[in-house]
Amino acid sequence: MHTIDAKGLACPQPVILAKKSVDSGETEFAVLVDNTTAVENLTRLAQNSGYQVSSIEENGIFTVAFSKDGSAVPASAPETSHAPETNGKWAVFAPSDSLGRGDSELGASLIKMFFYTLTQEKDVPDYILLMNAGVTLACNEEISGHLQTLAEMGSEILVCGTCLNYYGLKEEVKVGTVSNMYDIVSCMKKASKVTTL
Amino acid sequence: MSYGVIAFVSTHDAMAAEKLLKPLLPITMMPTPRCITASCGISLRFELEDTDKIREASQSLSGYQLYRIEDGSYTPL
Repeated sequence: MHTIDAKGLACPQPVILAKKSVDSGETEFAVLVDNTTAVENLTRLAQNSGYQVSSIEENGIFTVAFSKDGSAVPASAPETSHAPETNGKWAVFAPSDSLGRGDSELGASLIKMFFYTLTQEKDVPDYILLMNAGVTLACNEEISGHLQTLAEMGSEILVCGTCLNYYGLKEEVKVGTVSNMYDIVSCMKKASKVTTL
Repeated sequence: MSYGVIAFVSTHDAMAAEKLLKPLLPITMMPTPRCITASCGISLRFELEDTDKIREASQSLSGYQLYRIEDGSYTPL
C-alpha cells in the first residue's frame, strides 16, 4: 500500500497530497500526519470522495488509511462526470462579520439577526461557510450561540483555518469545524444555492 | 413558547439599548416579530421572568414598548 508522509506539513498540504492519490484513482493508500486538524480534513476528503477511512494514532503520529472497494468506482464515476448535482442543498457563505456593506455597526446587528432568524426556521442551511472576518462569527459569544443551535439542527459549519490563523483566533473558536479552501469550495459546488452575506 | 420583546421606534435607539442592556441581562437581538408593525425592524428578546428587571433597566431609554409574544400574537406588557 502506498504511504504518503505528510508529517510536519501545514494545512492544506496533506489534503493536496492525498487528493493527488484520489484523482489518480488509487484504491488504497495511507497518509501520515501529526495533527488532528489534518486528520479531520483527510477524513472529510475520504468521505466526499467515496472512500472508507480509518485513522490510528501512535506516539503523536496519525495514520489515515483510505480504501475503496473496486466495485464502487464505476458506480460513482458516470454520475459525477456529467450533470451537476441538483440536490437542493443550501450554503450560506459569510466572508465578513457584517451583513452587506455600509455602516459596520448596523451590519453587525443585521448579521446577528440573520443567524437568529435562521434558528427560528425548520429548513436550516446545509452548509455555513465562514471566511475572512466571517470567522469571528464563530468566536462571538452571541452569534456562536446561534451557530451552535444551527449545528444541532443539522447545519455543517466550516470555519476557514487560514483566516483563524491570520486573525490569531484559533483558540477562540466556539463552534464549527476548522476547515480549508478545498472543503469550502467543495461545499459551494455541492450546493444548488449559495447565499453570500 | 412565549417570550418578551422590547420594540423600538428607531433603529438607533434599538442598537443603543442593546449596548446598555447586554451587560446587565440575557437579551438577544432579533428582527421585530411580524405581528408588531408600528416600530423599527430591530427588537430585543428577553425571558418573561426578567420583565421587571428589563423594565427597570430600560428607564433611561426612549421610544420603546415591551410586548409579550405568544404563538405569533402579542400583548403589550
